[in-house]
Amino acid sequence: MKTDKLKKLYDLLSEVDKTYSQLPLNVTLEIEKISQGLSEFAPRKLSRRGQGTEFFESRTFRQEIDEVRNINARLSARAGKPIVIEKEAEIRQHFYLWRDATNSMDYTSNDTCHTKKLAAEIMLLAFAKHLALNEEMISILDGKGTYHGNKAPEWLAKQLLDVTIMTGDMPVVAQQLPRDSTVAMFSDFMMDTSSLIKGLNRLTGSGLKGFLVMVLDPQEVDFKFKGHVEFQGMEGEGKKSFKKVETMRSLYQEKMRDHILEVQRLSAAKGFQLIIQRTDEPLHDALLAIYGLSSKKSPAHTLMRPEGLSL
Amino acid sequence: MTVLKSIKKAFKLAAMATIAPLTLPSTAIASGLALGPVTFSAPLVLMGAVALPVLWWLMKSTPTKPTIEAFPAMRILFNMKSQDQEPAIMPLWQRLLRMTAATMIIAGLAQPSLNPDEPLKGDGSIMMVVDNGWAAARNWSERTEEMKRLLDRAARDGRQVSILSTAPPEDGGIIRINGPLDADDAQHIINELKPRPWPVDREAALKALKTPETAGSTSVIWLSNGLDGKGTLALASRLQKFGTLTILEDAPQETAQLLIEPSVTSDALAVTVRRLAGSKNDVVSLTARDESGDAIAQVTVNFEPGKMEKKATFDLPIEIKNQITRIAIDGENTAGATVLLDERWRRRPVGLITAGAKNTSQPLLNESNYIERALDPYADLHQGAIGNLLQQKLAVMIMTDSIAIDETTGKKVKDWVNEGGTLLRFAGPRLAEQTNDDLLPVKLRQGERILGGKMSGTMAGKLAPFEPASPFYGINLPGDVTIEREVLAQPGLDLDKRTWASLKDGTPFVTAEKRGKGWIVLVHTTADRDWSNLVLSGLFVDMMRAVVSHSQGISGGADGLDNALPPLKILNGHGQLIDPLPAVMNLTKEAVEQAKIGPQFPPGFYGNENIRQAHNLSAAVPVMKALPDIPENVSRGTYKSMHKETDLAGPLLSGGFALVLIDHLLLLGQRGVFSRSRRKKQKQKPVSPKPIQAAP
Repeated sequence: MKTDKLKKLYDLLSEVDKTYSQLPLNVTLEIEKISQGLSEFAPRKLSRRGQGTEFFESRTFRQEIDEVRNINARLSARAGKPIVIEKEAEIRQHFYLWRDATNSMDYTSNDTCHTKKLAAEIMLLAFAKHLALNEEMISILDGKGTYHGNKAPEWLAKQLLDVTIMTGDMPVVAQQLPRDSTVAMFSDFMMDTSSLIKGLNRLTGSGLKGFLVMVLDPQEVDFKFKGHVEFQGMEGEGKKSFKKVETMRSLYQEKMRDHILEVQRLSAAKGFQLIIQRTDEPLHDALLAIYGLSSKKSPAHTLMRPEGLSL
Repeated sequence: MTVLKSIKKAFKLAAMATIAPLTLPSTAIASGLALGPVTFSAPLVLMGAVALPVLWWLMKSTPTKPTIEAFPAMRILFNMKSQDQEPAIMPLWQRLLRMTAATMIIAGLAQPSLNPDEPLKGDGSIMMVVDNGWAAARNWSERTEEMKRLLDRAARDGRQVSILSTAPPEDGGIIRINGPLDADDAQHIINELKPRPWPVDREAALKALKTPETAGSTSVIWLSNGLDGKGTLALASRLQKFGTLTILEDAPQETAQLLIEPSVTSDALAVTVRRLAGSKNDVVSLTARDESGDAIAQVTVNFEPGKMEKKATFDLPIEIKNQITRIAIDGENTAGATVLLDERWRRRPVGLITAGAKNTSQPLLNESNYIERALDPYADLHQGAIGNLLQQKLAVMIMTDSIAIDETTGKKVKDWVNEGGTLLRFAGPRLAEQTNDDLLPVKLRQGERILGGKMSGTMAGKLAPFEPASPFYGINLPGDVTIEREVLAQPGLDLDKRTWASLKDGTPFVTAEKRGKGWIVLVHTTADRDWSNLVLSGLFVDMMRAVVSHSQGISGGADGLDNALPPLKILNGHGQLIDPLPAVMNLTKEAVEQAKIGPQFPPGFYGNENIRQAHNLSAAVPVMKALPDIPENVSRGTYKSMHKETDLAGPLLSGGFALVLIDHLLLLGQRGVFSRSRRKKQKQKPVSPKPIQAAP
């Protein structure tokens, strides 16, 4: 058993490495330039003032904001006026990551694609690996513990593979998340919209930002079935058959588009950005989208294309 | 309405398919239904075609089974209303595939055959007369196939079968006819039927035929070997009384060939290939093999057009030639195409003791000269000093009178004789004086006896006919051989037993004694012209050959017992050496001289540990002639030309079942059985969803 688990872990991590190696964000000045334009979750190299122990800059004492005890006597004596030392902000941020592990995520329509669950785990851990480089604090949203450093992705992977940790359609978060936390959730979001809203509502915290990565199999998008097909739900939803299913393709695609747009609308209302990732496309595209570096147009735009659903 | 129309159409077609065979005459149904070049032996099975239109209608009307797909986005599907859709039906290609498979299976079960053979004439039983002698072995498989085909037709027609084989059975009993039998029982007889390594006996087969009960109603098929022989015309005439006669024989390029026993020349081994007139086997290859069956040499002969015999020569070194035990025509596999060789065709190593240089200026004065001339064509002759000769492996050592040996050498010669060698000595003046020589078969009187001189009072010595116990028995005795002088043997009780040849007055002329495993033989006269003219006659050559042959114990009767030799190995019908069958008897000289070949004396090797004699078939077949013209109303044909029928049942049934298999595989593919990812990942979990942790 242990050997199986370890093997699963190492297999997962090697897949993660492959995806991670596609990310251009961990090298060069160009990346730094890009990251300077990023929002609050930019790499740690960007310094700013705040609570901390490291020197940031010195300035003149301001009565309205500074306390007298913060005056630095030595610098003040030199300057001949009261000088205060500004400290560098503690910029380690908290990232909360989560992936859906329900039965519907165990789907793949062909041997060349990962299952949606595996694709979600790979993206999650690749993201975690990059965050770990920047010493960020990373947790599984309804998991145990917070990690940072090089070993963080490995610890997270162990949690993901731990079958005793139960999870549902949406994560259950017991406490308020720390300030400026970022949430990234990887799921197919094939749930009732009310469940989605409830789940998002549970994620509260000051300055919270979030990303919903909707992981979809190509058949879920393209629906290229033919003939007499009986579809059976993977979570006990029931079954439905079509005698000539190819005639229902355009209708399906329309309904799927509607669902995606609805999810996008609801998530945007709660401050979450929806990113769509097909399992037959490079998985790092979703992470580039998280960093705002993707060339893909928004789902809303692409869904409006007349020839059909194209993501 | 569409469904009702289809049903009506289906039943209409079914009715036509049912009625059509029933309108045929009953004989047509019984004997088969002919549709163009195809005949159906079981036409009633075709009524299964009734089901085809129904099958078509069912396939067209019945919707196909759905493919099961586990799918995560059921929420989307449940929001979709199923529009009115035409039910999915089996695609046209799949319907055609299944209809083709069904049609092929029904047609195959109806036992169709293409270009069926002409039905057998007559309505009585079928008689098969099978020539299963040596000549039939060449194409025995074709004969067997033909017999099976005839049995099939007999079974189809419900006719009984009789089988008459014309070669004497291997138990030595009389030829009998088997039957009339049902086709199944006749099949057992045919399975046991084999070609025999002896000729057919049509006269005996004729005796086995009884008077027909219903003359003219039997269909007689004679599977002949194509060779004429005693009783052929009589048998044909008798068979015609039973009914229609058809004679089958081999095609001209497939007639049997006979290999005739070789004659021995000084250097080569020559066999003769004999074929039938009209045969088209122009190029024949022969292979010589050793005791273990390995090929030693091969020779190819080309027949001149119109010639029936051709000689083939194996020109080989003596050491190689001595290893040959059989020669066979390649590709024939018959007892007649195989010749066995024994010691008679082997040149034995013989040593001729010489002392000093030969007198080449006056060769006729050399004793060894006559011996050399007599034996050189028949033996591997070595000449030299006795010391050198004893170092070699020799069967016979010849010592003329001029040769003197010392005691030591004499002992060595004695040892050599005891170990199996034959010492052949010639008398002369020296021996006449020194009669106490130990290397003699008999004690000699001193001095020689003069025969035919004026003062002797006797006629010049003439040789008496050879006794049956003598190795020289059977050799032609010319009347002009005269013995003028000889050494005399001391009388003794066993002198007769040691005498191989004597003069007319009873005086021993050639004596011999067994010593250990070998022999000491003394010719009581010289090996030149001094004491007799024996060396000038052919008798001398024959006698020398007989002594050399006797050195391996070939000539019969040397030990005084009768000449019959027990069988060692015999040839079967296909020319293979097998253990002797129970009916095989010991080979007698009479059987050899009369070339008796049959169940009691099949071709093979006969003998014991000392002697081995080959008994070949060729002597029993002096002439090979083709079957004569048979009187009218007899149809003749070759085995291949008579059979054009092609059985279609096998291909149709195989094809039909293959299509069924393909259809099944396609169906499985459509259902996604071969898609591994679907099997692994589309697992159905329990109906109730996974519990979600309640918020604290």
